[in-house]
Amino acid sequence: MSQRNVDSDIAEARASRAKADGQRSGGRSDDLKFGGGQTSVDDAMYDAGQAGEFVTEMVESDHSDMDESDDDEVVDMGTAVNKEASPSAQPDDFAELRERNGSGVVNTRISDRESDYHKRRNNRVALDVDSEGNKLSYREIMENQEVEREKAELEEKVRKIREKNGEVAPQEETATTTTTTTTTSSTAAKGSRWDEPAAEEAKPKRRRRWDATPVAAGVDATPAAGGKWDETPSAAPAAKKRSRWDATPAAVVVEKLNAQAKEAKKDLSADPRATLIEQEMEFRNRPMTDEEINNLLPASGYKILPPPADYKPLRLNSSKKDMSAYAAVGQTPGFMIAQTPVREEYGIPLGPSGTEGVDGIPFIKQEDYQYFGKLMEDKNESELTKEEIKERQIMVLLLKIKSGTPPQRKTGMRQITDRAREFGAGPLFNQILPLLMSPMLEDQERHLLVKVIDRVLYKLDHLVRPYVHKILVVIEPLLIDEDYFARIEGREIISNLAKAAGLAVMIATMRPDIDNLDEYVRNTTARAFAVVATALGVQNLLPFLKAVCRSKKSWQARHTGIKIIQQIAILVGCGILPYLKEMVDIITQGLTDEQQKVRTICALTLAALAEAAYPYGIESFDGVLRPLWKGIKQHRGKGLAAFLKAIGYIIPLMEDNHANHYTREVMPILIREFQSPDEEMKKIVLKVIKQCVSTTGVTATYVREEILPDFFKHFWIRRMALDRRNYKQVVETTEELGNKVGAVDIIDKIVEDLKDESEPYRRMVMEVITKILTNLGASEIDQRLEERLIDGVLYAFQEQGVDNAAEENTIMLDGFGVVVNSLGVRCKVYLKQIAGTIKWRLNNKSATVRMQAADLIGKIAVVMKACGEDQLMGHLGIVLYEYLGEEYPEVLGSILSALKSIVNVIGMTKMTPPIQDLLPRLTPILKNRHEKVQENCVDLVGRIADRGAEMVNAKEWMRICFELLEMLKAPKKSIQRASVSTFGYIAKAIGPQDVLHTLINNLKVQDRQNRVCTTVAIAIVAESCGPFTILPAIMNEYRVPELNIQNGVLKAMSFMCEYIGEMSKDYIFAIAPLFEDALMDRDNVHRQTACAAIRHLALGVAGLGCEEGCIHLLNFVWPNIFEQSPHVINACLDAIDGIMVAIGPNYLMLYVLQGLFHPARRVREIYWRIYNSMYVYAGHSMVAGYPRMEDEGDNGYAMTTMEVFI
Amino acid sequence: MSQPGGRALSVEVLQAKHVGTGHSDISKHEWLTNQHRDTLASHVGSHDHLLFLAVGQNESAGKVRADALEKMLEPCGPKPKTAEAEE
Repeated sequence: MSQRNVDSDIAEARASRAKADGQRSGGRSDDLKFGGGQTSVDDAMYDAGQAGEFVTEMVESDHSDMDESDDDEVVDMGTAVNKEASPSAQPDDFAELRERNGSGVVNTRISDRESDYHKRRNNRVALDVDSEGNKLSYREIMENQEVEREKAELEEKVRKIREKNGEVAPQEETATTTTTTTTTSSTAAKGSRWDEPAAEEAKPKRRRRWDATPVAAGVDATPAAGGKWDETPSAAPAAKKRSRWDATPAAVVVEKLNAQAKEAKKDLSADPRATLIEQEMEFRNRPMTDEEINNLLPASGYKILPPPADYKPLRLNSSKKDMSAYAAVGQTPGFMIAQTPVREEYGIPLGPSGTEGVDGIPFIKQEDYQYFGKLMEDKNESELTKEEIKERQIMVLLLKIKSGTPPQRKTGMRQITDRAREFGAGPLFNQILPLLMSPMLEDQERHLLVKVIDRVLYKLDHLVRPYVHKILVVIEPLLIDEDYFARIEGREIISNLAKAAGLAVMIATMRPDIDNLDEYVRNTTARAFAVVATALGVQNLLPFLKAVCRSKKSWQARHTGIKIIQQIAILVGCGILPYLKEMVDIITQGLTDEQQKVRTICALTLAALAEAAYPYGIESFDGVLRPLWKGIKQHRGKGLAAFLKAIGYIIPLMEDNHANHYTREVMPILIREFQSPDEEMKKIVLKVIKQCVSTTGVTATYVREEILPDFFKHFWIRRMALDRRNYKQVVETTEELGNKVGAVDIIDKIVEDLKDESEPYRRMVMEVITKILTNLGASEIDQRLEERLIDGVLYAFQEQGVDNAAEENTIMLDGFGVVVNSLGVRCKVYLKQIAGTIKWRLNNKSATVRMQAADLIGKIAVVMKACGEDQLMGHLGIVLYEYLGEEYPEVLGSILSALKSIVNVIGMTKMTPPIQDLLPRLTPILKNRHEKVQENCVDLVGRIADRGAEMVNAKEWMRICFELLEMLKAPKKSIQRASVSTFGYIAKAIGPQDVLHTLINNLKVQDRQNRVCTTVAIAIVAESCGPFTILPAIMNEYRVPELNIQNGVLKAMSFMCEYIGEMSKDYIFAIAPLFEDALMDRDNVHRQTACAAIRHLALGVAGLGCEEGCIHLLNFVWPNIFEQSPHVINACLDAIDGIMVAIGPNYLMLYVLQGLFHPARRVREIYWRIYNSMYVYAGHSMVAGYPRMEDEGDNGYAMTTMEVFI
Repeated sequence: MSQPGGRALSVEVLQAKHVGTGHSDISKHEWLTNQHRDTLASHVGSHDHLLFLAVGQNESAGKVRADALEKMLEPCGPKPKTAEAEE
């Protein structure tokens, strides 16, 4: 694309504006021509109505865009908790998209899920180079910016004047006028109007810096990829708008024009599929030929009429359109059987068989050809210049990193880091940055490339300075990415960049972007600036921010400056406290700025600052209180919302009486805004109420009298329950109000709504009641309210929908549980009724209902016991027992858990059905593979083994032991833990011998996880039955010359020493020979495991007079300090740490002193590591054991004070 | 010293937390200075020990304490000049 010359542009623009006929120009000469050409075509082609519609659409979308960005700010700050998690405008959209794309592995292309706002990153312009690619000075850049801005203002002004003169009719009128006015009078005006969007459209597109990069040349160089573009020169971007006109074949002309322009542009984001589908639609909608009609209609009874004389076919040259192209593709060219996705698309690297690459270069993807195409050209190394060779080398490395196998990637990454300085910043970034801007980029690739930049940055250091802006343009979008890790990555890079380039360079580079016309650029720049501030110290940036926030030249600069402070507050949290005063002072005057947007962002920033400073720093806000409280009386709409938000965050910082005063001031406004139809305003009002009420200064009486009536009138309505965010906010605020005024006031008002007909509303009521009762208890609730409450809860529980989402159901269930539990014994009278409901629902045909009923038993069992309803519980126990044949695993799990809770409260002996009947019924259920069933079943069995083992015979327990072995390798940790402890109980009940035999046999299995769990179980058995019962057996087992078994024994001993603690002092000399053997073994896993065991052993016997044994073991551990493997060395050092605790550091010091000043560095290093660890753990005790030294010249090394004695 | 995950703390972090820790390139003077400071701090920190030293040296406890604090500044004298420093 041709670069533009600003001056001549301006001149041209002025000239064209001077023309009275209203022909407007875009900023670019070629666009001007293009627009002009289009005008004539348009006039001929479209009737006035269509053109008018089109204009309306354009203008509207333009405005809504601006609104959106504004909304962003409020929304962004609105969700205080999620703020960090979702800086983007519509996070939900992405979640949905990602879900639709499955795991996200197959299609993770970033451009596919970007919102329009995110896409604006492609519009950014290189500010620091002119049309010839020369570097511009800072001054020149600023001048250019100034010109840009003036131009935009001028255009805006002209537009307004036009509107006033009626040349462009207001949007609503357009529709009506088109029908009434005659075409002749409107043609000229319409024509100019049509022209306008074209000019508007041209503006943001400007010069795309990525076009300037040589990569585009690659398209021509590789015919395979280039072919795509040759075939369908009219690329997809036009497709969306074009589709409407497709019906009229005449559009072809425009299309051709479009196509030429597009071809020149070589827009790379085109999707070839869209063109294919379009072709198909055109083929299907082609006019029928006579022959076809003859075939369709019967031969007799029809007559071909001649067309009227004045009929003229609309189509101009559609007949010229070559249909043969379609014939070649087939009848339905759009349909094709998709190819089986290659392994690569699933993220599986190509194995050696599947590689299509040559010479160790990975396969180049179709869309990557434009970047890496050069590698496929056969060139003789000797013909290439030095630069070209370098370029190729970088290219190979980047390709390896981007699409190579993990080993290739690793070497590529290492080489590019090592040789970064040799390659130089220019060649590196000239290749990396375009890759990052590629529309086909995927998450993983972006991550890798960003990593490359990070590494390279580190190496290049200040050499990156000339590329700072280019890098920022690419990295800044990461800061508003919806992916948390991308944001973190972006921050890290920018902070490294700031450290490498220095503050001055960063400010000089980013300053021009601060008052950029594009909101997107300003937004990302503000975020980047905040990162720079945290990296280089907020203090250093404050003078600059002060200047920017007071800029007189443009409101954009002030807006961005304030936004930077907001972002800093969000980023560093309470770290802003030292600068709080200064920051507030800097932005204070923004509250009274003439620009609405500046005032809004300023209020939002104050909110962010107050939130970050909580609970300190109220004195810093003294200066803004007046303007804020004055502001809420002056503003309406969004501005007011922002001001209220700031107030909501500042009030909690205040002292009690101040908070009370200011709350009273703001309350009338808040109550007035209760009825605001604006959703955003509602949320903010609720939030502010919550914040005000939670301060101690606000009294309960005030809240009860002033706030509650209106609050319930406006927010406790069904509509509020429908929107998820409103719902949450109402619940939170009501909870806070409840904390202030007490449970009765709130519950009394809403309890009737438990019987409301709308289910979401009932759920909201239930959630609030749950929260209030949990916080405040039910002691205040009187008899009458209690009846209404139970009645309502029962109704709501019974009426809840069957196919709700799980979390929706838990609200009702939890609510029921909380109500019953907080009422306690007062429930006695209702229990019969509740049990009846439960029994009835256990029999329901819907699985969810049955599950809820069983869960409810679990929740109210304790209360039933407290009410003395043992008989009722026994009855429920039998009912549950009968339902153990349940086939839905979820329900079965709940039934087991209900049984468990009954057994827990009424005890083993009183349980009905009796334990000896219940347990055999559970044994087969242990085989069930479902997690919930397993967990609850093991818990129940463990419970019985613990409390009532004697009620079941030993044979049954052995059977259960075998089942439990399988469960040791359950995927869920809690199941593993439950089954291991069950082993302990069983061993205690029936004696360790049989259980141990089973366990030791299990050490021989192959599965590692199974063995590990077995060792844990052995250790548990040792703990519960005494180590002496199992030590002989497992020490004997150690004699088997088999790796797994020996390691298993050692591991079991390690766990055992950990569990038995002090008890190990009786066994240390017994097991020492085994450890000696293990520590001298060739296999390092032996030594590692033995070290771990010794660590636990030494910690257990510390202070119990086993120093001798510990020193003996230390002598075997010590030689392992030179181990290389990280696991072994860590275990070894841990063992030494443990022994240090047992024998004291000074004995160990004698070992350490040998190597602290050893000639070999490797020796010194490890010895110092041990010394440091000693110093950290027992530094004070070491004082007595420092070696004696003699003076040396001027230095008095002798420690004379230690020699004093009386 | 290691972090919860088992990764060793970097020398800088460790040094920042515990000034007396050393490393493989530490000089004898540095190491001993640390030892002396630790010892003196220990004397000052435990009052009984301080009284013991005071009696042993026939000084007042306050003097011993002040001396110890004073000495902590350069307990082993100035840093010896190395060959590199003289160049």
